[in-house]
Amino acid sequence: MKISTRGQYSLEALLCLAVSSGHKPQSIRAISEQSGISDGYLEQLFIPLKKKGLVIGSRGVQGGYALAKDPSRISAGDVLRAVETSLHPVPCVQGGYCKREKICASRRTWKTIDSALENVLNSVKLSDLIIVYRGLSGEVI
Amino acid sequence: MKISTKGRYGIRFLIDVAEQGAGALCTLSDIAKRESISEAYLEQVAVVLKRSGYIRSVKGSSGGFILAKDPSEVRIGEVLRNLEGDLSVVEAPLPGKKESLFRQAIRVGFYNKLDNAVNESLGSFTLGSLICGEKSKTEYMYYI
Repeated sequence: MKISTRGQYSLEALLCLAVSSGHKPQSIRAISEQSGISDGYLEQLFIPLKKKGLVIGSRGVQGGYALAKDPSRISAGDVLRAVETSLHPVPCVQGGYCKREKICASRRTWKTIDSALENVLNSVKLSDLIIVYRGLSGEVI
Repeated sequence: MKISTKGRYGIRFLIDVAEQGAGALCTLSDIAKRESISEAYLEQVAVVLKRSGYIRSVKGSSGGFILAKDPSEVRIGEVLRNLEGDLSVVEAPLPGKKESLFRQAIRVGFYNKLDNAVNESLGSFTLGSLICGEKSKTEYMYYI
């Protein structure tokens, strides 16, 4: 039951963009310095994130990446779905996968876990994480 | 965010044995046939289930596996942890390694919530509750 490094780093990179002041585009280098994720990895991550409309890239000296939407409109699930192949704990929860699904007693367990996860994935927004981040950085300083 | 085949097959193994009724002995080949899972794989799963105290093996020509506990006492969350190891969605921070504030914030605001959701949703299930599920008779007959 693990979230891949890709998923974890994507969340970190987007949170980094979300807390940056003035919503100015941030260069890959600046994001890398703050998050500790390598330039090359960030470049890779921003391709699917851009494609899914979560970030916008801009060129030029002042160029870089910025969030494409308000942080309250980006859920943690949106970010993970952009980079992970599947967020379902087992393939059969979506249905139509296995001929045993009507009689399978274990599928109820998987369905329950799946909907509990979905609920959190959709309800936690980037804006919630900004609040936690601000709280934590206040304590550190 | 995956539960491996080991976890899934382990649960099916226990459900299958429990469905045969109290005290029923099941051979690996019976379970393998009913569940359409390879016998070799089931054997590996059986090792873990036996070690964790969910099943016992009975030797001899009429031997097989038998549930070691009443199905109502077998908690599904606990079985999964025995089969899969830790169920949390990300690894715990390495001791002595400082995590970025971004990561810490996501851990507090998101990963911990996912873990709690998984734990809470699993808490309600026992092997007993799964085998008394809402299985309609017609569906059951159809697959026999």
